[in-house]
Amino acid sequence: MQKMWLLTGKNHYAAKLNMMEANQLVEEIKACLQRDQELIDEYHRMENGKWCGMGLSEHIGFIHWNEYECRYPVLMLVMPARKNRLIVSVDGTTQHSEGSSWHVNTLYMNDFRRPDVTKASFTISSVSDLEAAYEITCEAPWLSCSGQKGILDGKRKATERIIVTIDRSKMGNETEALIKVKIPSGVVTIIVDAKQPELSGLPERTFVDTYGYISIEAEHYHAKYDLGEKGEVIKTNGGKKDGSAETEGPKKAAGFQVLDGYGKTLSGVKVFPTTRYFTPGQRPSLEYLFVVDNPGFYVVELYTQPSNPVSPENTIYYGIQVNDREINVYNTIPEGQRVGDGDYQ
Amino acid sequence: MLNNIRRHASEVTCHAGLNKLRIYAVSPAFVLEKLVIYPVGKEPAESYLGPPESYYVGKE
Repeated sequence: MQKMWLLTGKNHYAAKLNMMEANQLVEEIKACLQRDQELIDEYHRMENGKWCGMGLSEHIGFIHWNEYECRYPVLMLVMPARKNRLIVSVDGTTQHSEGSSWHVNTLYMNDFRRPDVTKASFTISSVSDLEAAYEITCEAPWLSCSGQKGILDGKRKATERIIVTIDRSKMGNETEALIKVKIPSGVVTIIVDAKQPELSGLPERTFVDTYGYISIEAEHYHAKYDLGEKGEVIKTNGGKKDGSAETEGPKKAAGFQVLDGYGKTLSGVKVFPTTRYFTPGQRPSLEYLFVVDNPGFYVVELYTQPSNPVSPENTIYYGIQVNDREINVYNTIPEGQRVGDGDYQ
Repeated sequence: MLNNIRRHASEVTCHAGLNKLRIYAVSPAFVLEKLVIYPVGKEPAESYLGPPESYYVGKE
C-alpha cells in the first residue's frame, strides 16, 4: 500500500516533466493493485471460505471514515515527444533542464556543502521513445560520476541515475566544479558547490545552515531543562541517553522525555507528567543551537503531534524564546478549529 | 491533522552567527517532533515529512 502511494507520487512528478518513466511507473502501480486483489482472493479462500466476502469492501484511498468517495491513485500517462529529447534533473531538488540555450541550462548541486555528504546524484530521463545519447564530462579530479556516456530509448531504458562521489582529500583550495551533460537539445551544466561551513569554535549539536534553512529533529536538543521535586531546574546535555525521569541522577517531577520512533520522522519529545500545566518560571524547556549567516527575521515552525488537547478549551500552548529575550506563548491549535464535540468533559 | 502532524509557525529575530532557541512546555500533551527555521518569505519546498535534518556539529 505504501509502495503504491510512493510510486503514485513519483508517477505524478515524472509525468509533469513528460518523462517516459511515468508510463513505466503506471505499470508498477497497477501491479500493486493486482497484488491487493491477490491478497483479497487468498483471504476469501482461507479456512474453506470462512471469510469469503470480507475483502469486498473498499480499503484504499479513504477520505472519510467510511468508504464513500474513496479514491484510487490517479495515474498519469505521458505522450512521447517527436524528437529524441532528454531531461536532466538534480535529485532532491525541483531543478531540471533539457539543455536548450534558450532556457534554463544551468543547475546547481549543493549537497556537498554538508560535511557529512560524500555522494549526490542527478538523473537523465527520456522525454521521447526514440534513442538519445548523453555524454558526461567533469574535469575536477575530486569528483567522479558513476557513468560517462550512454543511450536512453524511453522504452527499455527510460532513465539513468548518475551518482556523483566527492573525494575531499583531492580538492586542494578548490570548492566549485562543473559537470557538463551533453544531450540532444544542448548542454546542461551542473555547478557543484562543495564549500564547507565554518565550524570552528561551535558547541556540539549546533545546527548549520547549508541549504537556506535549518531543520532539527526534536530529540537533537543541545540541552534540556527539567524540574526537580522542589521545583529546581535540572539541566541535561543532549546526546546522553537520558530518556526517562526514572534514570540515575536527581529525581525529576516534570520534564521532557524522548519517545523513540514516535511520530513522522525520528521521534517525539513529550513533556511529562501528562496532567500538569506549567506556569512561568516553572516550565521545562528544550534548548537548540543554530547558526545563520544573515541577521533578521526568521520563521520558526514547530512540527507537533496532532492529538486533541486534554481540555475543551482547544489549546495546547508552548513558549518560545530566542537568545534569552522575552518568552512568547502561542497556541498550536489553529484558531477556529474545533477539536472534539465540545461536551466530552 | 490528515497529514498526521500539526504545524505552528512564529516569527523571531536572529543575529548572524550562533543563536539559541528555547521551547518551553506550557500545556499538557505537548509533543515536539521537528523544528524548521528559515528566513521570512523563504519557506523550504513543501513536503510531507518536512525538509531533511540539517548538518550539526558532532554528527557521525
